[in-house]
Amino acid sequence: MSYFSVQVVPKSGESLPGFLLRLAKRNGYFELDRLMTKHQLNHIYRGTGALYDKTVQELGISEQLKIRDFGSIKSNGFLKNCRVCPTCVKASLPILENWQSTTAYHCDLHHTVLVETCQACHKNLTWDLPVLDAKCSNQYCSAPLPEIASKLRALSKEAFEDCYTAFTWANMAVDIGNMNRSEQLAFGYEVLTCDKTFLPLIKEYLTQQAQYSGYPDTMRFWQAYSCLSGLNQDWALRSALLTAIQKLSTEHFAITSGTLTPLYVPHDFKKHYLEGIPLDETYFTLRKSYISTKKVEFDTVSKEHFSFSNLISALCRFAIPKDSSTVSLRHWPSVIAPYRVSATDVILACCQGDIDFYFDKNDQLLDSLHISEIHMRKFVFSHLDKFENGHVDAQAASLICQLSTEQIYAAKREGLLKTYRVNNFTRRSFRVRDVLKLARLLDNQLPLPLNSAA
Amino acid sequence: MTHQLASHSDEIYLGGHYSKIWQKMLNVVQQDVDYPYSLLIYGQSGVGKTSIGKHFAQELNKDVVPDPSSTPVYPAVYVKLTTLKSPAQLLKQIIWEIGLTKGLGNEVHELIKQLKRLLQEHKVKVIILDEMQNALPFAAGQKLLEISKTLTELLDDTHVPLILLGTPALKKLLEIDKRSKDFQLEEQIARRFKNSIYIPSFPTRAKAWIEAINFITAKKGIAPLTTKDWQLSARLHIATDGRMALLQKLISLSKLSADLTSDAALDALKEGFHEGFMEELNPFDLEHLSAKELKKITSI
Repeated sequence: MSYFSVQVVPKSGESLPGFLLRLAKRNGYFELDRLMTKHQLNHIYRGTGALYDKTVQELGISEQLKIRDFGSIKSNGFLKNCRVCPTCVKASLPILENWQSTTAYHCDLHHTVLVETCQACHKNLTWDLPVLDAKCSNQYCSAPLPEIASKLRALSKEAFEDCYTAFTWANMAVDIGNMNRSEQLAFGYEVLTCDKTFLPLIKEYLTQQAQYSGYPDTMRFWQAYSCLSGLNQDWALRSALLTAIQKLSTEHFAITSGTLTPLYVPHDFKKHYLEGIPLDETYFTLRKSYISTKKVEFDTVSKEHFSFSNLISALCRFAIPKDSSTVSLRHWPSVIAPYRVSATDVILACCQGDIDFYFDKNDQLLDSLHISEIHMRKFVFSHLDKFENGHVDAQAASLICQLSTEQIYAAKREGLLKTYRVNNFTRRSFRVRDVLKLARLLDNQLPLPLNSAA
Repeated sequence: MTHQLASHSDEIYLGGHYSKIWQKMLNVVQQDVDYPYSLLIYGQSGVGKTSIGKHFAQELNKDVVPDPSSTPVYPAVYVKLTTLKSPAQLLKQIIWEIGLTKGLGNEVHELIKQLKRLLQEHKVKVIILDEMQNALPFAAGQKLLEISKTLTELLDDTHVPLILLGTPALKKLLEIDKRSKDFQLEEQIARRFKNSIYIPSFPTRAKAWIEAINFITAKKGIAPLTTKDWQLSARLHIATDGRMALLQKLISLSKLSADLTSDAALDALKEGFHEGFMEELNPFDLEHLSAKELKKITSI
């Protein structure tokens, strides 16, 4: 059943929100809010699910959505700001889906720069009816959208992807500020062509000596390395980055030969690697839990999931073989998981020398980082000890004290442990300091070495 | 656009004064001005306002060839109004009739804007509002003024004329300034309307009355009446007050057939009147109304 008197057919390449706007306009609506809420628009954009089915049914547009499969164009299912070609919408052409891509800069038909932000009020365009008339969607502005000819019309799609990569790196190197997607690509192009503005930037951030205490500087090293590997074509930036990285490697590694390279792999960088790994079903679950909670379920961890290839290859030059009483990468996430220590911290500890590790050069997979379990626990304790007022849950306390959770709660009842709850919605947890005190009391029962400060 | 005129319809009787009304309605649609004038047609209940309004809309829309790939075209939109609480409801009923039933606003200007768009999309040339008296309050006052202003705004913004059908109470819509005593406002809506048309009931001795009777009885295969059958036509007029709707009701309730004699037909009508009309005096009962008395009444 359709609730609309005027039926609209989706056009080729049209974006789903653009189609809905056109449907609303033809039926006389002048605000999309009259037809659907933003939540409903997001539900439809997701393309699948119970909320999608319910919303489509409520609006009576299931037949129109079947004409063209909008479901295949979802990325992460979140609707971004609207980007339009003002020349196209003035000519009543549809708002295309590929305009919404991060690497789309101009319209292929008119070579007009895609507009995402109003130049008058500087607000991002939202999916609302005024954009179909090439006007700002802000009801208090309604300024016409500018039609600007693209200066980058000769660039290919791959070149625009490189522009985005370069922008991402530059944005991490220095705080560029808020830019819309078109501005980001234009900025990235400037970075790639490496004019005088950015050459000093590269020199400044890449030639500094990597110190793990100087976290931002070492992060930029890896970000630059990531940018380099992400570029499809040869740009001036590429050669500048290579030169700088080589210089850094030569200078820095030469100084620290024989010791561990104090390189620090930031979480964002690691996430970038995770995103580059071919996806399978188990990977989604693992990645989601890792990114949100910094914990992993060790049963689902496989060797391909943690690939610090560049880091490992750098570390392997300085690896000191240890004895065979080590655990492989396959197991150490399970050791650290209950203590809420991130893999990043472990790598840091390796670099610092707090953890002895062994790298098996014969292993074809790069993630066979073997870490001494004893030293791992030592690191965990010293990590916990830093957070005097930190809290651990019953399971972690049980592992630290080598007691069952029932015994932990018994200790609590006897007054040996105090529990805390931040608010009514968090579970009760134990203060780390109290847990370590209890562990000290039970010292003769524990096989684990305790931090002397505990 | 070609349309059949009086007496060429198989569905309703378009003879007599109906043909003039039909032509006037056509004139409203065929106006070639920027701001077309609207028309108000009023009459008592049962004289045929709804029949002619519906039939007019059907005839206008009949000429359109449906195309599934494009927006349907409705030259005429016929809306039977129910009792309204606000002017916005009037506009909503029109929009619902066009086919849009979701997400309608509550403000008059929003609805008019939306209606304007829909009327353009569907290429509507006239809006027929039946039972328009339902939209009006009993007394002249602020609410009547609001309805009047809404209709004025609708006419000015959409440029689509209206044909309003209703009872004689509808006339007060065009007589606002004459009625209101407490507020003196320049009336605006009347100048957007042509002269109102009153649909009368059929006169007793009109040829059109006999034609109307024959139009209805022909469907039952009954032989047509002539001017010589003045008694029967007069009795029918007394029973139905010359109104088509009541005539149709009487004929349908009476068990008439082609093979009945005139006396049998009279008896059938007598029974039909008794069944469907609450009058105590049955004009088909010779004891209640003899031929002599009938002649005196009708002055024939």
